[in-house]
Parts: sequence; C-alpha cells; structure tokens
Amino acid sequence: MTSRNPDLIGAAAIALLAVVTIAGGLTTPDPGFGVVSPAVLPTLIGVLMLGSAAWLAIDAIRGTPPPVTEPVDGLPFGYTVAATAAFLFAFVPLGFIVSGTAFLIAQSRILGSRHLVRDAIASLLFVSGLYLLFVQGLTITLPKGPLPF
Amino acid sequence: MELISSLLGGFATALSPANLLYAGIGVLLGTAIGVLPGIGPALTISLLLPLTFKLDPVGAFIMFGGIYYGAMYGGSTTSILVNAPGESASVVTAIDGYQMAKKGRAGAALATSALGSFVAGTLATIGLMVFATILVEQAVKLGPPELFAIMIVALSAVTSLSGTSAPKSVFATLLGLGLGLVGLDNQTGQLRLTYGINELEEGIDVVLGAIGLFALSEVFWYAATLRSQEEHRETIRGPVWMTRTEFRRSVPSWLRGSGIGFFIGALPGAGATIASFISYAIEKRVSKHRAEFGKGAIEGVAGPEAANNAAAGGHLVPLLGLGIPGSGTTAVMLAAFQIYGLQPGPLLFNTRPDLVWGLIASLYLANVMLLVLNLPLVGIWVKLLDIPKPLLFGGITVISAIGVYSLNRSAFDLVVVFVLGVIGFLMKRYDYPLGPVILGIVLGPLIDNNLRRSMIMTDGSFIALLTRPGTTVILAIAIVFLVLPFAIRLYGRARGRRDLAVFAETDVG
Repeated sequence: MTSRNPDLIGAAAIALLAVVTIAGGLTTPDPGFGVVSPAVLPTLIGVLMLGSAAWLAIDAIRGTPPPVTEPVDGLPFGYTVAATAAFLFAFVPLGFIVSGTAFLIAQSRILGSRHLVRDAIASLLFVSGLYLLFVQGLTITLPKGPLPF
Repeated sequence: MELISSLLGGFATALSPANLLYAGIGVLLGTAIGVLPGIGPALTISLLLPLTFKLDPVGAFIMFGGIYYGAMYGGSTTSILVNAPGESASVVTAIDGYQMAKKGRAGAALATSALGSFVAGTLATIGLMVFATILVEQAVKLGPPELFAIMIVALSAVTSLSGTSAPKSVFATLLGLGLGLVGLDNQTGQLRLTYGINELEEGIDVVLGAIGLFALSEVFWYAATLRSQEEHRETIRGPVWMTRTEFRRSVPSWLRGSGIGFFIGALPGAGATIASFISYAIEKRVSKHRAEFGKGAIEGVAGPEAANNAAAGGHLVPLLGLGIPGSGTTAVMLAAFQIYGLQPGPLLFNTRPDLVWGLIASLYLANVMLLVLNLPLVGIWVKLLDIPKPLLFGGITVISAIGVYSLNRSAFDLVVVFVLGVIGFLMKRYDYPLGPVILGIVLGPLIDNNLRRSMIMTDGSFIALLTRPGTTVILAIAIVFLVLPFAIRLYGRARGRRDLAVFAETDVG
C-alpha cells in the first residue's frame, strides 16, 4: 500500500465522479407531481458510488494487493488515442472516406506496419468498400466532406 | 399443441427466401467477426447493428439470431488454434483445445466443438421455446413492483458474479445505472445528469456504451500491450473429424454441457463464461480420463463448448419472456429491439408472434447452417487470422465510427464513444468489470420507471413495496446472489479449492 496504489487513485476518481453525480441529482428540478422526484435515483446512485469508493479505499489500505498491470507501450498507446481522437473529430468535416483512409494508414503505421503502399491501397479499398456498402447498398448516410460523392 | 402450431408459424416466416438469406448472412458475419481475437458477441452485434437498419424487424432479428449463434461459435476456433479466445466464454475451451491442436488433433477439437455447439444450440432452443412460453404465462401477472425486484436480481447477480473485487463490480454497476439515467426523464419531462449539455438530452444509447467500452477500449488495449503480443498458431493436420472413440467420449459431455449451459444461462447475470467453467469442472470430475485434463482431453472441449452455446439460448429466456436482459449481449439485443420501437416480453408474444416465433425458428435454422457451413469452411475462418493486426484493429475503429454515426447522425456521439473508450481501457487495465456497465445502462431507466410506478401503487411507501409477497421473495433471491459468491469463495479458500475460488471471479460479458 503506497500512495501510488492504483486502487487508491481509482477510489479518489470514483469519489469525484460520485460528487458530480450527487450534484447532478440534487440540481434536477422537481416538477412537484409524482410520488418520487426524478432527482431521487441519480442522487442515490451518487451516494452509493461514494460508498463503493470508500469500500475500495478501505480494501486498499487494509492491504488487498493492487491489480497486476502489464507495462504500457507508451508511444503506440498515446499515438493510437491521439489518432482515434483526430479521426472521430474529423469524421464529419473531412468526410468518411478521407478521414477513414488517413486514419487507417496512420493507425497501421503506429501499430508497427512498415508497408506504406500496401496499407494505403488496403485502407482506401476497405474504406471505399464500406462507404459503397452503407451509402449505396443500405442507403445509410455517411458524411462525404469535401468530396463530391 | 399450441406450441407446435406457433413454431410451425415461425418456420413459415423464417423459411421465406429473404429471411433464409438474412439468417445465412447473420451466421457468416457472426462467425467471421467472432473468430477475431478480443471480439465477443456483444461487440459483434453492436458493430453489425447498422447493417440491419433498413430491414423489416422480422428480418433484422432473424439476422441477429444468426449473428449471436455465429459469434458464440466463432470464438472456439481461435481458442483451439491460437490459444487466444475470441470471447471470454471460450477461455476454458482453450485449455484442452489448444493442447489437442499441439498434438495434431486440432481437427477433432474443432469437430467436437462444432457438433457440440449444434447439439447444445438445438437443445437450448427447445428449452427457450418451452421455458419462455411458461415465463410469459406467469409474467402477465407481474406488476411494476415485481418487475423492479426482478431487475434488482439481475443487477445483483451480474454485480456479484463479475470481476475480482466487490467494490469495483459495485462501482461498474452504478456507473452503468448513472449513464442509463442521463437525459430526459420520460415521466416528468425533466433533464437529469446532462450538466447543461444539450446533446445529452436524448440520453446515452447502450450501443455507444458497447462500442466505446468493448471496441475502442480493445483497440487501445492492443496498442498499449503491443510488445507483449505473441501469437503461436497451430495448423489443422488431417480431416476435421473425430475418431469413433473421441465421438463416444464427446456425446455425454455435449448433453451435460447443454443442460448446465442452458439453465445457468437462463439465470440473470450468470453468463456463458461461468457455465463453461462449471461444465469443465464437472467434466473433469466425472471423466474416466481425468489425467488427460489440461493436456488435451476431448471432454474438456466438448462440455464447455456445448455449455457456452446452450447458455446463449438460455440468455434469451428472460429477454424474450420478461423483457429483462441478463447479460451484456442480451442488453445490446434489447437495445436493438428498442431501436425498432419494440419491447420484448409477454406483450410481444401476443402482438408480434411472427417476430418472436420467426426468431425462435431461425435459431434452429442458424444451428443447422453453422454445422453445414462451419466444418467445411473452417480453413477460411482461420485465414481471417492472417489479416495484419494493425489493419484489423484500425478497421475495428472505422467500423465502430460508422456504427455510432449511423445511429443518430450525431458528431457528438463520436465524442461520447471516444470518452467511453478511454474509460473502458482504464477499467480493463485496473480490473474493473465492463459487463455490469452495459447492463446498468439498459436497466437504469427500466428500474427507475418501474420503481416510480410501484411507489404510485403503494402511495409512496417503500416498506409497502418491499413487503409485497412477490417482491419479498424475489428480493430475497437478490440477497442470495449477493452473498453466494462470497460464501463460495470463502469455502473454496478454506478447502484449498482454487476452482471454486475462480468460479466466483469471472467477468460476465
């Protein structure tokens, strides 16, 4: 049990989330009709969450061993999270084909692929195939971005 | 007699050329995605959901039936050949299946798994038909208080049977319930837990939860553990079939596994993973070849594979009979029903018998299709493992984005799913179970709704609610579920029985 025990950090994060949930519950307006106010269950969930945070902290302090965690490969993980965020944020403005192809090429490289030409062709074919399937085949609208189709 | 005529009506629906095609597509897609490591049935259904948006509900659910059974089957191939189970319910299969493959008996392991899945799937579908019908007859007598209590049982069971740490499981359930309550309260029209963000008024769809927590977190996990990823794949030598002795040894294990899997699967919260663990323990205990276990005993593949497939049928009993999901996968299926404006349960049996019985009949057909297609096609499924992992995991993110965007065409949903992906990764890394979060998202609004309707019936008295005979009995069951794993764990530790201690420490997916 040290200050770096991940379960203690987890308990603190849960406690914070619990406070936010309780605040959200308590600020829910009560329209005055109905037997139970809509604020009750969210507030109760927040209070119970606070209880689970205390329970987890007590377990950690009493010496329950923290979870065994594998070391994280920082660079591929960080780049993957960043690339995913960029893809999801660019999905609508750049359109599915452009953002999807660029993301797949980048993600393949981040995860260790060194076949740029193969990845570029495979990504473009895969993303275009999905676009055709969903837009033409299933008439589900996907953002087209600056492309004319 | 009525059962038979309803089933025949179901077959008339399921055997139409279009519905047969949907079932076939579902089985193929379910198996193909289920084979891929790290992708379970809940995620498979979430990812493939947009494909069904343009179908009529009957066709869509027939395709879902195929996807569900296909995904359950697909996981075993990866367990046997790569020792990397496609889904948690196939973890046990890997113990003896991979050992058989190393000894050159991969063909026999795959054959007993396919035939066992067929036997179990068929028996479980018969069980589903009989027990769901009985449940429906009883369910019409249940009011909001009893339904509230049953949902508490489902949550208690999932909470107590998931993960290795009780406070973490409790938190996961509460997180799911909280996420489920975000948005407009349909009884009073008030906004809850939206914190002034307009886009949250519609709430957080369970499909966003499943894709964020299961798909994106899996991609992040792969990236984070890239250096420790090693894959040793065994090849299939000889025909995909068993010797006469292996067949004879498999049959009783299939039958035992089917019974165990169905009844455990039908209990809320007790998933296919637990069913397969129990089946393995029982096979080991009753086998005449106990020494072979862990080194390639065919019963160690036959029993658990039958159990996890039968559990898939068992899961559908509370979903179709009561409209209450008992696992992450059936929670996503419930969300799929809701997308079509349908609520499974007793009413659906009366209002849409074509859909319910068409779905049940299609499960029989999906089983036959899986048997006919999968043994000859196993070479193709194995080829799917050749897809370069960087492209595969990138592809999962791209398909996830389509799945999320096609729900509401909302860019904000993409942000939500990203945040849930990061939360899912952290929870997975620090050993918080994800299954209860998904179930909580679905059950949150249902529990809230039934609790408040119950309180109207009891004039606001919570004591009166708890002391109704039906709710008292059902809530007592919830308490048993909460206490049981602790008791089993303590008993297991006291007796040095690691298998019993492990039994209470599996995630329900």
